[in-house]
Amino acid sequence: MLIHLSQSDGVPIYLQIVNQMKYLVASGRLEAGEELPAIRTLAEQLLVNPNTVARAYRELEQAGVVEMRRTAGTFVSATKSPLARKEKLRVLGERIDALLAEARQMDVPIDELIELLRQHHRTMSPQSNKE
Amino acid sequence: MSALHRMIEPQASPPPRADVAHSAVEIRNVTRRFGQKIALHNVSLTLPAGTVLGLVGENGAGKTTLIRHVMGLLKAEQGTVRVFGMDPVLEPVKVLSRIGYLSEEPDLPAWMRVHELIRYIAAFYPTWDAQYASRLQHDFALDLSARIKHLSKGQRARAGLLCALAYRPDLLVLDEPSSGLDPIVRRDILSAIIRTIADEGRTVLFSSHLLSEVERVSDRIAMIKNGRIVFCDTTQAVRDAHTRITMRFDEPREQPPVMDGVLIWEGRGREWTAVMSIPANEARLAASSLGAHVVQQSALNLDEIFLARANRAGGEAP
Amino acid sequence: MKTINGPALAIAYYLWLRTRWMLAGFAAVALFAPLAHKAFPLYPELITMAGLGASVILLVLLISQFNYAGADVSARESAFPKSMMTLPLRSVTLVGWPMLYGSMACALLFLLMMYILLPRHLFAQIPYWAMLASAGFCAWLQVVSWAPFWWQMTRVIAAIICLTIIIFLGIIAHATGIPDWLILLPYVGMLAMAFIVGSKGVARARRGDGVKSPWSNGAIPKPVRPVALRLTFRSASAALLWVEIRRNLIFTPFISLMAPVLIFVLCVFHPGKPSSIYLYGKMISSTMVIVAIFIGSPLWCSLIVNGTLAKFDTWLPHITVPNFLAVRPVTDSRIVAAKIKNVAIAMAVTWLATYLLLILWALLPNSYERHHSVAGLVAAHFKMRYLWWGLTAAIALPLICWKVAIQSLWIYLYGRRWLINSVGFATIAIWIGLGALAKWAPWREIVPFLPWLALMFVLAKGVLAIVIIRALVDRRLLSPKSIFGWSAVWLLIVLGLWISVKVALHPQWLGQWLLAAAVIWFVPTNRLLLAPLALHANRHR
Repeated sequence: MLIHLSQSDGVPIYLQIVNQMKYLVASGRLEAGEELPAIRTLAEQLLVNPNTVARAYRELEQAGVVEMRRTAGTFVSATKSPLARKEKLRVLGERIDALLAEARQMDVPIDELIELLRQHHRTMSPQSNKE
Repeated sequence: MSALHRMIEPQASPPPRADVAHSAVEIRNVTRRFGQKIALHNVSLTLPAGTVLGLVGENGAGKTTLIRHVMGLLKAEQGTVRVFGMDPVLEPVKVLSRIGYLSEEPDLPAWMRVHELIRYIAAFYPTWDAQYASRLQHDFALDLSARIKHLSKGQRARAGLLCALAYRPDLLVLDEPSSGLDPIVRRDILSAIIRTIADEGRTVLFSSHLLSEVERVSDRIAMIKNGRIVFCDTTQAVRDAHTRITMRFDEPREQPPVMDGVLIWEGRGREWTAVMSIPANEARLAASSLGAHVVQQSALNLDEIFLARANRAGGEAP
Repeated sequence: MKTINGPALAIAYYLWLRTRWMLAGFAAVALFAPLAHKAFPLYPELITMAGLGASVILLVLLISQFNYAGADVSARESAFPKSMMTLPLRSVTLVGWPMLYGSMACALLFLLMMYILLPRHLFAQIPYWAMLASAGFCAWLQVVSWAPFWWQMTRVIAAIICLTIIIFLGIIAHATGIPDWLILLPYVGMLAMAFIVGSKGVARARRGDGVKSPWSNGAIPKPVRPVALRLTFRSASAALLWVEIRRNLIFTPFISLMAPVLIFVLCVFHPGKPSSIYLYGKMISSTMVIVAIFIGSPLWCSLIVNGTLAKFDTWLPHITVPNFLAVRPVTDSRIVAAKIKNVAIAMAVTWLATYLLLILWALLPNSYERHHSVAGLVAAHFKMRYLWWGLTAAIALPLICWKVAIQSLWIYLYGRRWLINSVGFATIAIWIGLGALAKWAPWREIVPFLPWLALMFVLAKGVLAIVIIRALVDRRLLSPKSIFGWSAVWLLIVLGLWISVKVALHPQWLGQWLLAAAVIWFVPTNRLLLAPLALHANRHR
């Protein structure tokens, strides 16, 4: 199963699903237009309440990662809507702030940090090296 | 992913009952004594249809007593118990035909064989689905010709689960169903709960000590302590209402400061960690009002909340 | 809190905790009997009978405690408590101490009760081996309970055989004139054997042996027969009845037929027998004795099995409603109805088997005397009248047994131990009361008032019935619409019975109305109506 839940780190389950789905989409393992498992199916596989899965899907829809079509299922978004992009940039901005704060505490200079970013990016999507 | 999705086709389920508007279970001001001991003290609980309620509490807190009231095994001395709008004691046929019950030690008759058991139980429920029962028996790998006393504990639990599920009850009541069972059987039970709740309008009430399970699966969580309901709220609200906050003081302290809403204190010197029963932002405010600097703040999982709450009576740890 | 050292004292302490109340009961009987004798010097037999009856009940309860009663008696596995099997003690210790305490308790209590209750001259006649028989009773019951067996139900058969031997060995030996000191020896041997066999039995149970017969080869797995799910039951009532029959039917015929079958077999294989027996100073034809045993055994047994018939499972000691049954969507009335049907079937089976056995015995060529069978005798003196009486009796007996059984269901269905334990004592008290009433009541003065008393009695019964029916309707155990129907049925039964008694017996000395009152008293109403109420109170505490 592509999603793994962990209960010990205090992160709510729906958030874990959201984050992991986002990761899957971002890393290309879930392609645009691909159908996500039905809420009920995913709930049974992960052994979580279907409402939790539904909430995760709603959040993903709000974030523009997926779109829920009535009676057809849930599909990964093909296009990226501009509103969603702004939201994404905001979230990323928060993460960057946290990252920078930690790096400062650990005494890692900004250049090293950028190099680290590139390294991880290469590992994540080996085919798009020219980014 | 889509292949996986296609592998598990949703089962056809009977249409939801007309009285979905009723709460599935409504308990009002129930008090129960056993001799001198007060097992339940003015307990009120509502379980809306279509939700999963997880009941947690220490041993002897009153969970089983409450569940027995729902099943009509105990009469409410004071207060009322209504299941599907009816009194389970006065209307056993109408109420119990829609409830599936699994208890810690399902006291299935030891002398019966599995096929006799299935045949026997089927006689009581007009909504018994023989194909579903047969599929469950296959999935659980129950040996039809084995006597129940020769089954292992896990197999007995599975047999009990089959007997509680095969007629697709509107309300599934489980009293510590996973205690003492291996993870595979626990998975079967959790999976049964999920499948039940995924059908519209069906409700689950279960009590368990495995709080990780309760957290995954419940919409609402209620905690009982000494016969009183400590909290009853949605899972998210319960999590939001508790926080762990580590604060750093300018000077080292011998004793933790006095703060409202703290369940447990830990630490020494300048850093003290409090597990609190108030939301995170309020906790931050309270900490800064004491002149402390918040170093770390994290959410708690249900296990930790339970332990903190349970420790309450024993006093705060210095 | 002093600590206990050693298994001997620990087991003694445990048994003391379990038998405190019975011992207190014995003390109470021992105290009250002499006082009663002083207070009522004119009725020593009555007091003695009451005391003996109470003692027997207490002894039975005591023995069940020494047995560590609690497991399925019909199963193959030993009934020795599993928690004790894992104690760091040898089997001889585990068995020896309870057996020692049990035997001593039974022997001493037997002696004590006889001493206190019986007048001196009768007491002096009791032989010493009777004490040992009492001890052996307890010891062998322990042996049989704690041993594992190869087949189901063997334990019950073994228990009956052992106890019968213990009781009758001495009696028969005594009756045939063997000196008392000689009879003592086999009893002593029996006790020693009990210890040895009992220890071996518990040792086997601890090893897990003893439940597979040596010729059942466990190494080869049984081929898995594809068991198809058979046709479902027609209704919940059918399912309830099926369980009742499976678990609660066999006991009644089994117990009732033991003595008749034994007699039958004896008659078949031992043609020569005395045509009359000298019993208690009177000559009684042995044929009559045999017929009495044939008819009396089911009668007597159906009285003592009432409790087991009302249980949810004959072979298990539980009296509370098992969860398994309590959460089913059935009303308590339906459960009681299934029980009533099962009792009817049990009585029918018992009596049919008895009649069959009786007829077979009567057809034996030497049942009456060496060259005549009872059937031949009956054929020779046949009259239509006898046939009608015979048929009436044949139908009446199972009906009476059925009635007695169903009217006491409520006691056991209520599920409270104190009520069940007090039944025995209450019955004794009632019989004493009735006996005293019969002896002391000034009958001559009462006779003219008898019709009025009967009327009051019927009215009281009616009022009670109304109260109980109200309670049933309140708990939705009886629908108001069906009250009319059931009342009609009751009326029909009463009328039918009244007419049949009048036609068959022509009782001149009993006026019409008194007869009606007697019939109304006879038909079980209130106690039967109490049964669903009692079950309701048991199931929904």
